[in-house]
Amino acid sequence: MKKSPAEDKKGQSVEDIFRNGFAGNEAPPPSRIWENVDRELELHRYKKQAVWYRSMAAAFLLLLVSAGIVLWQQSSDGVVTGGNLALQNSQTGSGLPPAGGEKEVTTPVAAQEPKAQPTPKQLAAVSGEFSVKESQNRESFKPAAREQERLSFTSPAGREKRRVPSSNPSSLALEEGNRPEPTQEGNRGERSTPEDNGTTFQQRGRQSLLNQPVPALAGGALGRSDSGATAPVRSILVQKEAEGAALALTQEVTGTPTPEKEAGKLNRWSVTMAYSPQYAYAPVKLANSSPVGANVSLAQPQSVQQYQQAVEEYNNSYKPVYSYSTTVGASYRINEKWQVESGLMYTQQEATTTHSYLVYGGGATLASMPGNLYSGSASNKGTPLMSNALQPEAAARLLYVAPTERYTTRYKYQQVGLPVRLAYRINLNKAYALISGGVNMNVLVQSSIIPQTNQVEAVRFGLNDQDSPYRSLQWATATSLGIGYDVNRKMSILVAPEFIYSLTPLVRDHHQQVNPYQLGVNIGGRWRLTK
Amino acid sequence: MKIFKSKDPTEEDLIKRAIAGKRDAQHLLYQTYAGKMLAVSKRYARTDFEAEDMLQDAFVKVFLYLKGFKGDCPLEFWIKRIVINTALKHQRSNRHLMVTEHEEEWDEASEKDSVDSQLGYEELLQLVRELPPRYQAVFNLYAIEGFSHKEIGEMLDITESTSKSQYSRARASLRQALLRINQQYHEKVTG
Repeated sequence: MKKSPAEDKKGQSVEDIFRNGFAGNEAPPPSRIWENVDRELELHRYKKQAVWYRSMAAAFLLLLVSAGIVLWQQSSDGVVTGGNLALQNSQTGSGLPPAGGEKEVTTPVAAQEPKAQPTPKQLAAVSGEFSVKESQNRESFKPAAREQERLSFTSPAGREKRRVPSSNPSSLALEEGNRPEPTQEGNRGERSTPEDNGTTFQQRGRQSLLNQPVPALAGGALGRSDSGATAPVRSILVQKEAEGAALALTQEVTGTPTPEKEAGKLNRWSVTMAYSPQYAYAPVKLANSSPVGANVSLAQPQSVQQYQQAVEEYNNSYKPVYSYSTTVGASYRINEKWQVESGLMYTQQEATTTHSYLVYGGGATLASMPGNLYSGSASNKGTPLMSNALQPEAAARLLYVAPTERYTTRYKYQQVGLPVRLAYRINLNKAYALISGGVNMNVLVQSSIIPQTNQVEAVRFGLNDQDSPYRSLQWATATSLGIGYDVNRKMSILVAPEFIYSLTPLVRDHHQQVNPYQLGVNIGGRWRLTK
Repeated sequence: MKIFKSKDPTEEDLIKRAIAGKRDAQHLLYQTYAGKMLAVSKRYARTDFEAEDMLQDAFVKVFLYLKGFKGDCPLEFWIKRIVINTALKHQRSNRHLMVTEHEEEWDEASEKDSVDSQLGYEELLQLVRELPPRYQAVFNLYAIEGFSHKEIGEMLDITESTSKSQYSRARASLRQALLRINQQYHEKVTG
């Protein structure tokens, strides 16, 4: 390259020499650079997808847990009636919740009595609910309640201790009138009719036991003393009595509760998780007589026969391999027998085929062939037979088929779905049978055709890929029959063989696929949302 | 994935498909520009291997950030800018390998000084690679790519005057090298 300086152009600046020397130069890159770039991009794509899936899973779990907590609280609120409230009060040891309890306690103070007196109408409405059912037990509570009542009104210490700074008697009376059954205690000083007393004494007995501070409960001597030394001993007794009273009251109010009924009220919601190894039979058959296969243009006459052999080999070698689905969801028990289940399901189906031919849809190999109409491919690698056959554009294009060593192609379909199931439960002591049926709505988020050879390019189709031969939205029916076992009150496990039948074919061209189905075994657990 | 096409796609189509992650479109874009860009990265690298590393990293970035290409300049310029930035980043990360320059050995030459040379691409490339890394970068950016000293200062995180100074020294070094080659050639010819 170096010429004699005598032949050089004179007077060039350093910049001109280098600028001209470098101008228009190209250096052919080694092929390994693209391979590395390809690998890096694939890795980045994988990471991106992993982040997306994890985010989705995390968001769903968060939503599920939040919904569970809200439902649990709502369910608990609905079941907590007078008895439970009393029980809560006895456990906290400080009487009723501040909003109602403190006001209620201050009401009976003698000086406030005229203003705090509620209307007779309110009293009748409130006490009427209890007067019938509770009349049987009233005697057992009357003496104690009366004594308690007397003490609570006469004990200055008790009064002093329970005084609430901001109690407004008039508004308080109104609140008490509207309050549910446990709040009747607030009106005890004003009642005079025997019927009312029958109920209210029982109520009063329980509530006053729970709500009175220890000195007021401890009889005459204790009633006149604020000494804290005797309080713990007395409060234990009070708690025991209160628990018994609370239980009796709960039974009276709700009828005769059975454990099942109680469970039915408390345990309607369950969190379910399941893993299901599957056998997924979903072959996409290619036929020479199919609309696409018949019209494939082959570059050479001998290729016709080879293409047919390649198709036949593909059809005959389809083999499902390990597939699975995982589900996280919630179950709602409508009654003892029926329940509804739903959630989020991820399914990964895999299959393989074997091949002895390479199919070229373009690239360097085809570009060198006479009569080639295609020159746009990015590489000289072959393309998977299935993606060639399912491409609508393939009908008018040239293909080139060449024999090669046998290789395997793996097909992977990743779906995210929404299953909805209606299940019937047959209780068998601690075990149970569960028969369920429903539908799955699946979204095919990614499908991959990955040849296990470097002579053929891998093909992937995403969710919004317009070129994808696969349907994005797919429906399937699912039925299962399983055996479950209640490990404890909150947890149960379930093993259930499941049959899923696809209502929509995997590929857009519905002639290509017949009766795809999946067989799997659900192995799962469910956790009841209960206290 | 479009496997069959009736005509060559336009660059705009290729860009759209490459943004959508189509590997064939990405490969076509790569094939179109990789040769030119390898020539660029070679000017900033010390070895061909380093240049290939730079090119690889640059093209990964090109495809990851292609969505950000607004089309307000030719794609080649956009890719070239990424290649240059990647090369400069490589240089920064290899700063610990940089040798200390012997600045006093070089005479700063005027820009009007001319020199006679008809060296080929490989010889010129070798001369540029023999410059200290920072001078190599400044010379390439100013003399070959056409950036101003202010822009170079921002790109290399140095002041404008430092860029001018380093460029001047780089230029002087190259001029001396060219003169030395000429002189050696004359001595060889005249015996």
